[in-house]
Amino acid sequence: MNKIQKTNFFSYNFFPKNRRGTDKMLSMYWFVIIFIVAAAIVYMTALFYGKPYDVRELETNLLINKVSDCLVENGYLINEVFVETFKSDFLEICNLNFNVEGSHGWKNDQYYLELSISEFVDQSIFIIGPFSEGNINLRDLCSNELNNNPFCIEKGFYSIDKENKEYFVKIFVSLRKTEKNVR
Amino acid sequence: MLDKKGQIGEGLTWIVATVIIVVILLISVSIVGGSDLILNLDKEVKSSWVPDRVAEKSFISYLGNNNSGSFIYEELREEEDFNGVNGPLAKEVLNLYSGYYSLDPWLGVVDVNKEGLSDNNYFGKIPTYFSGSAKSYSYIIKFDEEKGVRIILTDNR
Repeated sequence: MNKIQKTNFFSYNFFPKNRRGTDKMLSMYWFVIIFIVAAAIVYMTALFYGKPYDVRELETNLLINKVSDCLVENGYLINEVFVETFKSDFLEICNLNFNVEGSHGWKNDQYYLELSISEFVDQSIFIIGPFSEGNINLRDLCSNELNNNPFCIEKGFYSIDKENKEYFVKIFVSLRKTEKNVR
Repeated sequence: MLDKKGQIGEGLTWIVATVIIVVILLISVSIVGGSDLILNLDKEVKSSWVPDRVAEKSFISYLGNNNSGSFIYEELREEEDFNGVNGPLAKEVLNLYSGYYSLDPWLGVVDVNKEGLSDNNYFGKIPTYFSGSAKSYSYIIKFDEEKGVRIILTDNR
């Protein structure tokens, strides 16, 4: 009975008077070691996962894919493209929303998208645009070398309408969001 | 007195053990912090492969073109090669993607069961190393069980 009471932490006899100094030192060592190991694990985890991944290239590519999916159906440009209100209704037609979370002082100004549709043979003859949505200031700050600048991609594709006229669709996207992707 | 000697030995053991544990932890931390592991992960995310839907759009629209009176898809299925009209157009369409990939884009009619044997006058021989470490976008539209038209965009940077 007395033996059981000695091993119970809450009992008076947890620190028996007959225990020697070395035993107490060992307990201290255990705590210090556990603390050091825990701190090292926390530090390593923070080192590994603390730096954000720069996913802006992926995001811009996905946005371009989304816009191209919206403009072309079964290989043909959709009819809405040729309607006069296309430019003003573009975000609604393509179901896009450039709003961003309110962190880091962002005010829905992290995206810029420019779209133009021209003749395929002579790409200087524009049928639609170029017109843009989002923060136009991002266009001139493009630099994929410098991490703190917006990430920009321009892609174009060949398309036709139902009357078989050939077009060149050009999409330019600039994405900032540096605070969440670069540190 | 004899008791005391034993206790000092045990204490020394723990001091040495602590030093060893700390050294092991320092090595682990330096491996995690100093290695290229984090850098490589970042690079991996940056270059992750997003399917090139834009190129796919060009490919489908090209096959749906019927400027010459019949769809290019039909022409390729019947002739099994490019002609003087749809060949130059294919070259022009795929040139749009030359800057985005390290290897020239390839398009042509392929034998579905004999990969790697296809070639044509406009794009040459089909790239044989489009799988493996190189990142490759490949899209095929089959005419039947044996033949199809394929686009291959390869980046091995």
